[in-house]
Amino acid sequence: MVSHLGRSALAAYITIADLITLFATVFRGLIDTIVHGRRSVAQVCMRQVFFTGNEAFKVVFVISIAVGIAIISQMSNVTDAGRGSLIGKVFVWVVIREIAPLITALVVIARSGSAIAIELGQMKLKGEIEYLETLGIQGEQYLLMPRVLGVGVALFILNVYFNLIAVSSGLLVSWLGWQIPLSHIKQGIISVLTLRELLISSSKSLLFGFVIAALGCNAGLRVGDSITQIPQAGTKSVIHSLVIVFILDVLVSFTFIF
Amino acid sequence: MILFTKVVSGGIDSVLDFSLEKGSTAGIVTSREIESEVIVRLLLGFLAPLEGTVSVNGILPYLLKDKDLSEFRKSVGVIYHDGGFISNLNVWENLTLQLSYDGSSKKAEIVERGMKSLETVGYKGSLHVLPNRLSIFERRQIAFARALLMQPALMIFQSTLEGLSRSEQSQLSSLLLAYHGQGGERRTSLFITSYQDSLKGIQADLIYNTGGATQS
Repeated sequence: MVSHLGRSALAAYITIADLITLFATVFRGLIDTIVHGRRSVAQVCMRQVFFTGNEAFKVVFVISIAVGIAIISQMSNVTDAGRGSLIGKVFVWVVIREIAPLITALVVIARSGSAIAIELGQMKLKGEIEYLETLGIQGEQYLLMPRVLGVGVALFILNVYFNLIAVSSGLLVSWLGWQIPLSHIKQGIISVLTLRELLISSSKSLLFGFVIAALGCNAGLRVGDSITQIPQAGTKSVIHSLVIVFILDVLVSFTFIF
Repeated sequence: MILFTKVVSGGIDSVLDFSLEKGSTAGIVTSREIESEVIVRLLLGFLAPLEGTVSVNGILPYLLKDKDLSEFRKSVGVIYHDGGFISNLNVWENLTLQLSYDGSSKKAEIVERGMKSLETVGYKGSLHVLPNRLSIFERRQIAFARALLMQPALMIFQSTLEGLSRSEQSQLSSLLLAYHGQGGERRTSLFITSYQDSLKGIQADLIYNTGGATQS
């Protein structure tokens, strides 16, 4: 039991240490890319934004509508229809601050986190990372930095879309279904939607994006000589991302509260 | 000058001890493919020898720091047996990757040099296909075209002339030798293979056999 706990703690420590090293590498790579204007690195970054953002948009679109409607339905049942302003406030506190960054992160973990781990794992197994380095291209700069930045930016954009769609669909349904005046809900939203709320939501989505990509890269680059390690890398990336994203969510929320 | 001094490394059964003058053409005949791979990795600093030293123009690649190692590798052109491509980039992206990453050339210049390089190697296929769609001959053509873009002083050919038809072999070897010839004393070409017959068309200054026998 004790040895099991020790092993788990050591594994967690290694993962976090890897993550910090990886972020340091990404930061160094970013400076070098800006200074030297690496066109190919910028291209990979744009592709990652497209792959993560554009292709996840449909899923996020459907979920955000469903969440908007579900929250409005529950709130309208709990409070009476006349308290539209409270519904608006709950929307900001629950959807914008908590649910939007978390759900978009979950979608990206499932789609892109595992995909990054599998892609890099395959590249490593096929010797392609060594091929890159043979060309004088630093693997971490070409592979890690654009993925980490790309997923961060994509998640930030997805989070903005999620908020807009969830709030719009919620407003529409509350107006059509419960005849709650839109002005009441709008008033509630505006009264609590400060820059701070937007900052919490945005910083969470950016941070989650960086962490999801970094964990995906880390899992992929740890693939050894066996092909069975590739799906394991995908799974590991998903599990680690889930745990760390939820922990970070709590930490960021607490940071802004106190 | 390439210098292997009493090199012992995992994957190689014998002790490697040979030198290759700058500007020469040499063949290294290994007893099996894994030995060829190990020698390439030693030359590029991916591996450090267990014993002895590997030196390329006075540099010990395995002792270089990351940034210096990247710079060193840019001065070496390597044609791997499978081309050495990134599988999710198409032919054009693979071809121009190094030049584009280098950042010293403008887009129009990259396009011009890339097209000229393809013309030199005689590649007539599509530029938008992924490398796994290419034949082994086309892969080596593209890999050579990519190396040409950087004009390296040292070219390493890993089993480059193996597994080709006679006409493909002759077409490719004349291309490789023409490049070597254009550089005069400056260019060094090193053919590493486990199949000695593939070196027949190459007039090597030295053929080193990892088993022991050396012909000059």
